[in-house]
Amino acid sequence: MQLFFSFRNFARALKNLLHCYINMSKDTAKILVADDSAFMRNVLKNILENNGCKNFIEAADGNEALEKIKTEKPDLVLLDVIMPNVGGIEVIKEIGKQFKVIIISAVGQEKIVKEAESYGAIGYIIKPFDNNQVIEEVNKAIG
Amino acid sequence: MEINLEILNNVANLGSKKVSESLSSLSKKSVEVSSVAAEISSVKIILNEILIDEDRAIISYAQMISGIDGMALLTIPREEALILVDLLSNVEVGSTGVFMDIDRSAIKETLNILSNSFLTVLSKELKIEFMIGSPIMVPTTSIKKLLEKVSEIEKGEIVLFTTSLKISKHQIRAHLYIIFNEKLAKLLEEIK
Repeated sequence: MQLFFSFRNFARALKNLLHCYINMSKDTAKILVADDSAFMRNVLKNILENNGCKNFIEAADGNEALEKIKTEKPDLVLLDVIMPNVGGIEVIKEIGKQFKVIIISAVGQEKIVKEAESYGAIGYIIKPFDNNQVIEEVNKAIG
Repeated sequence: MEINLEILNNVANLGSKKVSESLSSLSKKSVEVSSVAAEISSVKIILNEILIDEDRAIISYAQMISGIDGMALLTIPREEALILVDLLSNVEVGSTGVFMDIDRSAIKETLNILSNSFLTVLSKELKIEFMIGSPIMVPTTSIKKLLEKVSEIEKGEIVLFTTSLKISKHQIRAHLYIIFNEKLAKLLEEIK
Protein backbone atom coordinates (compact mmCIF):
# COMPACT_ATOMS: atom_id res chain seq x y z
CA MET A 1 0.00 0.00 0.00
CA GLN A 2 2.80 2.38 1.02
CA LEU A 3 4.63 1.54 -2.18
CA PHE A 4 1.48 2.42 -4.16
CA PHE A 5 1.25 5.87 -2.50
CA SER A 6 4.95 6.53 -3.06
CA PHE A 7 4.56 5.67 -6.71
CA ARG A 8 1.46 7.88 -6.98
CA ASN A 9 3.33 10.82 -5.35
CA PHE A 10 6.29 10.27 -7.65
CA ALA A 11 4.00 10.23 -10.71
CA ARG A 12 2.28 13.41 -9.54
CA ALA A 13 5.62 15.14 -8.96
CA LEU A 14 6.83 14.07 -12.39
CA LYS A 15 3.63 15.35 -13.98
CA ASN A 16 4.04 18.74 -12.24
CA LEU A 17 7.66 18.91 -13.28
CA LEU A 18 6.76 18.21 -16.90
CA HIS A 19 3.91 20.72 -16.72
CA CYS A 20 6.36 23.40 -15.45
CA TYR A 21 8.82 22.47 -18.16
CA ILE A 22 6.16 22.75 -20.88
CA ASN A 23 4.95 26.14 -19.58
CA MET A 24 8.51 27.35 -19.24
CA SER A 25 9.14 26.29 -22.84
CA LYS A 26 6.18 28.28 -24.04
CA ASP A 27 7.29 31.25 -21.97
CA THR A 28 10.80 31.28 -23.24
CA ALA A 29 10.54 29.74 -26.69
CA LYS A 30 11.60 32.28 -29.28
CA ILE A 31 9.04 32.29 -32.08
CA LEU A 32 9.69 34.03 -35.39
CA VAL A 33 6.48 35.10 -37.12
CA ALA A 34 7.26 35.74 -40.79
CA ASP A 35 4.36 37.14 -42.78
CA ASP A 36 4.22 40.21 -45.02
CA SER A 37 0.85 41.09 -43.53
CA ALA A 38 1.23 43.00 -40.26
CA PHE A 39 -2.44 42.21 -39.63
CA MET A 40 -1.78 38.47 -39.83
CA ARG A 41 1.34 38.74 -37.66
CA ASN A 42 -0.80 40.42 -34.99
CA VAL A 43 -3.54 37.80 -35.27
CA LEU A 44 -0.97 35.01 -34.82
CA LYS A 45 0.79 36.72 -31.93
CA ASN A 46 -2.53 37.29 -30.13
CA ILE A 47 -3.47 33.63 -30.47
CA LEU A 48 -0.09 32.50 -29.17
CA GLU A 49 0.04 35.07 -26.36
CA ASN A 50 -3.26 33.66 -25.11
CA ASN A 51 -1.55 30.27 -25.18
CA GLY A 52 1.26 31.49 -22.92
CA CYS A 53 3.91 32.33 -25.53
CA LYS A 54 5.74 35.57 -24.90
CA ASN A 55 8.90 35.74 -26.89
CA PHE A 56 8.26 36.86 -30.46
CA ILE A 57 10.32 38.22 -33.28
CA GLU A 58 8.83 39.32 -36.58
CA ALA A 59 9.78 39.42 -40.24
CA ALA A 60 7.86 41.12 -43.04
CA ASP A 61 9.46 39.29 -45.97
CA GLY A 62 11.63 36.30 -46.82
CA ASN A 63 14.91 38.23 -46.69
CA GLU A 64 14.18 39.55 -43.24
CA ALA A 65 13.10 36.08 -42.15
CA LEU A 66 16.41 34.55 -43.33
CA GLU A 67 18.40 37.26 -41.61
CA LYS A 68 16.52 36.85 -38.32
CA ILE A 69 16.74 33.06 -38.46
CA LYS A 70 20.52 33.35 -38.75
CA THR A 71 21.00 36.01 -36.08
CA GLU A 72 18.23 35.18 -33.59
CA LYS A 73 18.17 31.38 -33.96
CA PRO A 74 14.46 31.03 -33.12
CA ASP A 75 13.06 27.87 -31.54
CA LEU A 76 10.20 27.92 -34.00
CA VAL A 77 9.47 29.69 -37.28
CA LEU A 78 5.92 30.39 -38.45
CA LEU A 79 6.37 31.06 -42.12
CA ASP A 80 4.06 32.44 -44.81
CA VAL A 81 4.55 31.26 -48.41
CA ILE A 82 3.67 34.36 -50.39
CA MET A 83 5.98 37.15 -49.33
CA PRO A 84 7.77 39.89 -51.26
CA ASN A 85 11.39 39.43 -52.41
CA VAL A 86 11.97 35.92 -51.12
CA GLY A 87 9.03 33.56 -50.64
CA GLY A 88 8.53 31.10 -47.79
CA ILE A 89 9.41 28.03 -49.85
CA GLU A 90 12.78 29.55 -50.76
CA VAL A 91 13.37 30.36 -47.09
CA ILE A 92 12.73 26.82 -45.92
CA LYS A 93 14.79 25.47 -48.82
CA GLU A 94 17.73 27.53 -47.63
CA ILE A 95 17.53 26.78 -43.92
CA GLY A 96 16.71 23.13 -44.46
CA LYS A 97 15.93 21.07 -41.39
CA GLN A 98 18.10 23.06 -38.98
CA PHE A 99 15.08 24.93 -37.63
CA LYS A 100 11.53 23.93 -36.77
CA VAL A 101 9.25 25.50 -39.34
CA ILE A 102 5.46 25.54 -39.54
CA ILE A 103 4.07 26.98 -42.75
CA ILE A 104 0.98 29.15 -42.31
CA SER A 105 -0.33 30.17 -45.69
CA ALA A 106 -3.44 30.79 -47.76
CA VAL A 107 -1.85 28.62 -50.44
CA GLY A 108 -3.34 25.17 -50.08
CA GLN A 109 -2.28 23.55 -53.31
CA GLU A 110 -1.02 20.02 -52.83
CA LYS A 111 2.21 20.54 -54.73
CA ILE A 112 3.27 23.45 -52.49
CA VAL A 113 2.32 21.58 -49.31
CA LYS A 114 4.41 18.57 -50.39
CA GLU A 115 7.31 20.79 -51.44
CA ALA A 116 7.33 22.50 -48.04
CA GLU A 117 7.24 19.16 -46.26
CA SER A 118 10.07 17.80 -48.40
CA TYR A 119 12.26 20.75 -47.36
CA GLY A 120 11.58 20.03 -43.72
CA ALA A 121 8.39 21.84 -42.65
CA ILE A 122 7.02 20.10 -39.58
CA GLY A 123 3.52 21.46 -40.14
CA TYR A 124 1.39 23.16 -42.77
CA ILE A 125 -1.61 25.23 -41.72
CA ILE A 126 -3.89 26.69 -44.36
CA LYS A 127 -5.24 30.20 -43.77
CA PRO A 128 -7.61 31.13 -42.44
CA PHE A 129 -6.97 28.78 -39.62
CA ASP A 130 -8.78 27.57 -36.61
CA ASN A 131 -7.04 29.11 -33.57
CA ASN A 132 -6.91 25.73 -31.85
CA GLN A 133 -5.09 24.22 -34.80
CA VAL A 134 -2.36 26.84 -34.50
CA ILE A 135 -2.06 26.30 -30.75
CA GLU A 136 -1.94 22.54 -31.17
CA GLU A 137 0.79 22.63 -33.84
CA VAL A 138 2.87 25.17 -31.92
CA ASN A 139 2.56 23.22 -28.67
CA LYS A 140 3.63 20.07 -30.49
CA ALA A 141 6.67 21.88 -31.86
CA ILE A 142 7.89 23.59 -28.70
CA GLY A 143 6.38 21.41 -25.99
CA MET B 1 -6.53 27.16 -72.29
CA GLU B 2 -9.49 24.78 -72.18
CA ILE B 3 -11.91 26.16 -69.65
CA ASN B 4 -15.63 25.83 -70.17
CA LEU B 5 -18.47 27.49 -68.31
CA GLU B 6 -19.42 24.29 -66.53
CA ILE B 7 -16.00 24.10 -64.87
CA LEU B 8 -16.09 27.81 -64.08
CA ASN B 9 -19.51 27.60 -62.42
CA ASN B 10 -18.35 24.67 -60.35
CA VAL B 11 -15.24 26.58 -59.30
CA ALA B 12 -17.35 29.66 -58.53
CA ASN B 13 -19.67 27.66 -56.28
CA LEU B 14 -16.96 25.74 -54.43
CA GLY B 15 -14.70 28.80 -54.30
CA SER B 16 -17.39 31.04 -52.84
CA LYS B 17 -18.15 28.43 -50.20
CA LYS B 18 -14.47 28.43 -49.29
CA VAL B 19 -14.44 32.24 -49.22
CA SER B 20 -17.36 32.43 -46.81
CA GLU B 21 -15.83 29.76 -44.53
CA SER B 22 -12.50 31.56 -44.64
CA LEU B 23 -13.71 35.05 -43.88
CA SER B 24 -16.16 33.83 -41.28
CA SER B 25 -13.33 32.02 -39.48
CA LEU B 26 -11.22 35.18 -39.56
CA SER B 27 -13.95 37.65 -38.58
CA LYS B 28 -15.88 35.23 -36.32
CA LYS B 29 -19.04 36.51 -38.00
CA SER B 30 -21.48 35.12 -40.50
CA VAL B 31 -20.35 35.70 -44.04
CA GLU B 32 -22.55 35.47 -47.07
CA VAL B 33 -21.10 35.56 -50.54
CA SER B 34 -23.96 37.47 -52.08
CA SER B 35 -23.13 37.21 -55.72
CA VAL B 36 -20.72 35.08 -57.63
CA ALA B 37 -20.36 35.21 -61.32
CA ALA B 38 -18.09 33.13 -63.44
CA GLU B 39 -17.89 34.05 -67.03
CA ILE B 40 -15.71 34.08 -70.06
CA SER B 41 -15.76 37.74 -70.74
CA SER B 42 -13.71 40.78 -71.76
CA VAL B 43 -11.52 43.25 -69.90
CA LYS B 44 -13.94 46.00 -70.92
CA ILE B 45 -16.53 44.66 -68.50
CA ILE B 46 -14.25 45.23 -65.53
CA LEU B 47 -13.35 48.63 -66.88
CA ASN B 48 -17.02 49.55 -67.02
CA GLU B 49 -17.63 48.34 -63.50
CA ILE B 50 -14.73 50.34 -62.16
CA LEU B 51 -15.83 53.40 -64.10
CA ILE B 52 -19.33 53.17 -62.62
CA ASP B 53 -17.79 53.73 -59.21
CA GLU B 54 -15.63 56.60 -60.35
CA ASP B 55 -17.38 59.06 -58.08
CA ARG B 56 -16.38 57.00 -55.05
CA ALA B 57 -12.93 56.33 -53.73
CA ILE B 58 -11.96 52.77 -54.52
CA ILE B 59 -9.20 50.83 -52.86
CA SER B 60 -7.63 48.33 -55.21
CA TYR B 61 -5.07 45.61 -54.68
CA ALA B 62 -3.61 43.40 -57.36
CA GLN B 63 -1.48 40.28 -57.39
CA MET B 64 0.14 38.30 -60.15
CA ILE B 65 -0.85 34.77 -60.98
CA SER B 66 1.44 32.32 -62.68
CA GLY B 67 0.64 28.84 -63.94
CA ILE B 68 -1.81 30.36 -66.34
CA ASP B 69 -0.59 33.94 -66.30
CA GLY B 70 -2.96 36.55 -65.05
CA MET B 71 -3.95 38.88 -62.29
CA ALA B 72 -6.21 38.84 -59.26
CA LEU B 73 -7.76 42.22 -58.58
CA LEU B 74 -9.70 43.28 -55.51
CA THR B 75 -11.66 46.52 -55.48
CA ILE B 76 -13.57 47.88 -52.50
CA PRO B 77 -15.20 51.28 -51.99
CA ARG B 78 -13.17 53.08 -49.34
CA GLU B 79 -16.02 53.36 -46.80
CA GLU B 80 -16.74 49.66 -47.07
CA ALA B 81 -13.05 48.83 -46.79
CA LEU B 82 -13.03 50.64 -43.45
CA ILE B 83 -15.98 48.52 -42.31
CA LEU B 84 -14.23 45.37 -43.52
CA VAL B 85 -11.13 46.24 -41.50
CA ASP B 86 -13.27 46.70 -38.35
CA LEU B 87 -15.04 43.40 -38.94
CA LEU B 88 -11.81 41.50 -39.51
CA SER B 89 -10.15 43.13 -36.51
CA ASN B 90 -13.17 42.28 -34.33
CA VAL B 91 -13.73 45.88 -33.27
CA GLU B 92 -16.91 47.96 -33.42
CA VAL B 93 -17.83 49.09 -36.92
CA GLY B 94 -16.89 52.74 -37.26
CA SER B 95 -13.71 52.42 -35.17
CA THR B 96 -11.40 52.82 -38.16
CA GLY B 97 -11.56 56.26 -39.72
CA VAL B 98 -8.18 56.50 -41.38
CA PHE B 99 -6.25 53.67 -42.99
CA MET B 100 -3.12 52.75 -41.10
CA ASP B 101 -0.54 50.21 -42.30
CA ILE B 102 -2.16 47.49 -40.22
CA ASP B 103 -5.53 48.17 -41.90
CA ARG B 104 -4.03 48.01 -45.38
CA SER B 105 -2.51 44.68 -44.53
CA ALA B 106 -5.94 43.39 -43.47
CA ILE B 107 -7.22 44.24 -46.96
CA LYS B 108 -4.17 42.57 -48.51
CA GLU B 109 -4.92 39.45 -46.50
CA THR B 110 -8.51 39.55 -47.73
CA LEU B 111 -7.28 39.49 -51.34
CA ASN B 112 -4.97 36.59 -50.50
CA ILE B 113 -7.81 34.60 -48.99
CA LEU B 114 -10.27 35.38 -51.77
CA SER B 115 -7.95 34.61 -54.65
CA ASN B 116 -6.53 31.48 -53.03
CA SER B 117 -10.02 30.16 -52.35
CA PHE B 118 -10.87 30.24 -56.05
CA LEU B 119 -7.46 29.26 -57.37
CA THR B 120 -7.16 26.22 -55.10
CA VAL B 121 -10.43 24.86 -56.48
CA LEU B 122 -9.52 25.80 -60.03
CA SER B 123 -6.13 24.13 -59.61
CA LYS B 124 -7.83 20.85 -58.69
CA GLU B 125 -10.34 21.08 -61.55
CA LEU B 126 -7.77 21.89 -64.22
CA LYS B 127 -4.86 19.96 -62.69
CA ILE B 128 -2.69 23.06 -63.05
CA GLU B 129 -0.55 24.49 -60.28
CA PHE B 130 -1.05 28.20 -59.75
CA MET B 131 1.28 30.45 -57.85
CA ILE B 132 0.31 33.92 -56.76
CA GLY B 133 2.47 36.89 -55.92
CA SER B 134 2.32 39.20 -52.96
CA PRO B 135 -0.57 41.68 -53.23
CA ILE B 136 0.31 45.26 -54.05
CA MET B 137 -1.87 48.31 -53.58
CA VAL B 138 -2.42 49.90 -56.96
CA PRO B 139 -4.14 53.27 -57.47
CA THR B 140 -7.42 52.81 -59.34
CA THR B 141 -6.21 55.17 -62.07
CA SER B 142 -3.24 52.87 -62.74
CA ILE B 143 -5.52 49.83 -62.81
CA LYS B 144 -7.75 51.58 -65.34
CA LYS B 145 -4.78 52.49 -67.53
CA LEU B 146 -3.50 48.94 -67.33
CA LEU B 147 -6.86 47.44 -68.25
CA GLU B 148 -7.33 49.95 -71.07
CA LYS B 149 -3.97 48.93 -72.53
CA VAL B 150 -4.96 45.26 -72.45
CA SER B 151 -8.41 46.01 -73.78
CA GLU B 152 -6.93 47.86 -76.78
CA ILE B 153 -4.61 45.06 -77.80
CA GLU B 154 -6.55 42.08 -76.60
CA LYS B 155 -9.58 41.08 -78.60
CA GLY B 156 -9.74 37.59 -77.12
CA GLU B 157 -11.74 36.31 -74.21
CA ILE B 158 -10.72 36.26 -70.60
CA VAL B 159 -11.87 34.20 -67.65
CA LEU B 160 -13.47 36.24 -64.98
CA PHE B 161 -14.69 35.55 -61.47
CA THR B 162 -16.45 38.30 -59.62
CA THR B 163 -17.76 38.10 -56.11
CA SER B 164 -19.20 40.40 -53.47
CA LEU B 165 -19.73 39.81 -49.78
CA LYS B 166 -22.06 40.37 -46.87
CA ILE B 167 -20.34 40.11 -43.49
CA SER B 168 -22.66 40.14 -40.50
CA LYS B 169 -25.27 42.74 -41.56
CA HIS B 170 -22.84 44.75 -43.61
CA GLN B 171 -22.82 44.68 -47.36
CA ILE B 172 -19.22 44.87 -48.53
CA ARG B 173 -18.90 45.36 -52.23
CA ALA B 174 -15.53 43.69 -52.32
CA HIS B 175 -15.20 42.68 -55.92
CA LEU B 176 -12.66 40.07 -56.78
CA TYR B 177 -11.72 39.64 -60.39
CA ILE B 178 -9.49 36.80 -61.44
CA ILE B 179 -8.39 37.55 -64.95
CA PHE B 180 -6.26 35.15 -66.93
CA ASN B 181 -4.38 37.18 -69.42
CA GLU B 182 -0.69 36.96 -70.15
CA LYS B 183 -0.30 40.60 -71.20
CA LEU B 184 -2.03 41.83 -68.06
CA ALA B 185 0.38 39.82 -65.91
CA LYS B 186 3.36 41.34 -67.71
CA LEU B 187 2.00 44.87 -67.36
CA LEU B 188 1.42 44.34 -63.66
CA GLU B 189 4.98 43.11 -63.27
CA GLU B 190 6.13 46.39 -64.83
CA ILE B 191 4.10 48.40 -62.30
CA LYS B 192 5.74 46.45 -59.48
